[in-house]
Amino acid sequence: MTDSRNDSAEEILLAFAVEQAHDNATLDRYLQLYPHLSGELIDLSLDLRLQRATGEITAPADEAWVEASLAAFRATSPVQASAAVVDPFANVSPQELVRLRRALDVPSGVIQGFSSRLVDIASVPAWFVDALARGLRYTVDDLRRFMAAPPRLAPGISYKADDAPSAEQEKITFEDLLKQCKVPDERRQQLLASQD
Amino acid sequence: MDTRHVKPLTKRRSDGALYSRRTDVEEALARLIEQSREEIIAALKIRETSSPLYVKSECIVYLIRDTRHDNDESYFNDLYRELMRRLSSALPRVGGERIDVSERVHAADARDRVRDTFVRKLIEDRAEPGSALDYFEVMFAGAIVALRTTSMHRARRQAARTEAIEADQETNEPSLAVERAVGSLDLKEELLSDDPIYRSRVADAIRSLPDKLRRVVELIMRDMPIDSSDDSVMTIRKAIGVKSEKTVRNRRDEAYRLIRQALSIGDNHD
Repeated sequence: MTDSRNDSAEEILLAFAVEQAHDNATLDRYLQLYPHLSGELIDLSLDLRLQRATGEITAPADEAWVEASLAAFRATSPVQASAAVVDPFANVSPQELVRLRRALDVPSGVIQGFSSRLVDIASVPAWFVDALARGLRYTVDDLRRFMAAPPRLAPGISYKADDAPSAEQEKITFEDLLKQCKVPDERRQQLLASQD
Repeated sequence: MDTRHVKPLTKRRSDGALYSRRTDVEEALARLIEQSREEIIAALKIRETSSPLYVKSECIVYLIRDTRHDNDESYFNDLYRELMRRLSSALPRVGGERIDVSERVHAADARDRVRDTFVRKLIEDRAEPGSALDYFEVMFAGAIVALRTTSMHRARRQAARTEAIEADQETNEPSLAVERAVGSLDLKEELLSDDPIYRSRVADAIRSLPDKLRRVVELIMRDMPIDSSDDSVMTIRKAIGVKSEKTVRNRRDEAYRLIRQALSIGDNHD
């Protein structure tokens, strides 16, 4: 049993599966042409029949499996993985950022803590990451992948100083970010809670 | 003016002719490529297959292949997730109260293997455009079933090395009662039942048969002759590669007995 045997068997079965008709003449033709695949062809013929008989019986999607499949794709797709990190803040207008800040009920500095990647995403409660990602219209995975990189200068901010500005070297916790941004104690506790 | 067009398939049949998509798929694609990504993502959420806005699985394959040079990861992820849902629903269900745990595990393994094969083809297609995914734009659900059949056979070939070879029932005489029971159970009709739950039970009963019995059932449903003196006629005996027509009849009888048992249909011959 070699890979090429597997590959050609797969090709032949795929070709059979997409035939316009699966009548006796079609099956006969394949059985005559590929007698070594008779077992596979008969099995496929039956599988297609059973699929037609039960095709409209839909079960709720297994979302955990769907997400695991996406993660598996990312893990096995080196080209994608290296090109995959997108900047969720790149195309957000200032008006949208204001809307987002209000929706999340945080000062603008907190949003900048994310756009500059200053905050350590691991210290942020999952519900907040989820809400922020949704507000930016990206997935949680997108946001987490973006945040995994080192801090950078927050885009779209003007600096007035003699020295060229530089990005922070160390990430800070979400709690420290909230303190730096002077988020009131009560709201800070709400934001740090595991669920809102 | 720059007009978008749907790229044709490049896969060729064994006779050299190019594969083509179904007309309904081509028409749907012509509309989809004019839509914004937001509109497409919104349409992916439509579950009613009868809706005119429902995105056919073949179209999702086209759209995801078309993101090859794209940085819009969010759009790709939405297409990919929906494709995985479609892939899963094209296969025998994994969950369900009526099937036992070992069968669920078996179905879950098969689903993972099919996904892995499909994903390998997708990754290859993204790295270097080819025609391996063209089948999935012709008939997505059928092509997914073909991957399942292939992967099940690979798994069986690997397992076969450790399994004892069963003795065949070459010489057993079929009982007359079983012969009669076979005649009274028309599986083609049962699979057309109005009751989807019943159809699903029949399908499960057939799927759970051993390979050699299940294949005879398929060929009986196709009304293929059991044997023939005419060498040019394809028969069940030839198709399953056995010497005697009696073996075919024995397998058929055993298969129908097991199916009746699984469906709790009495034999009326106690």
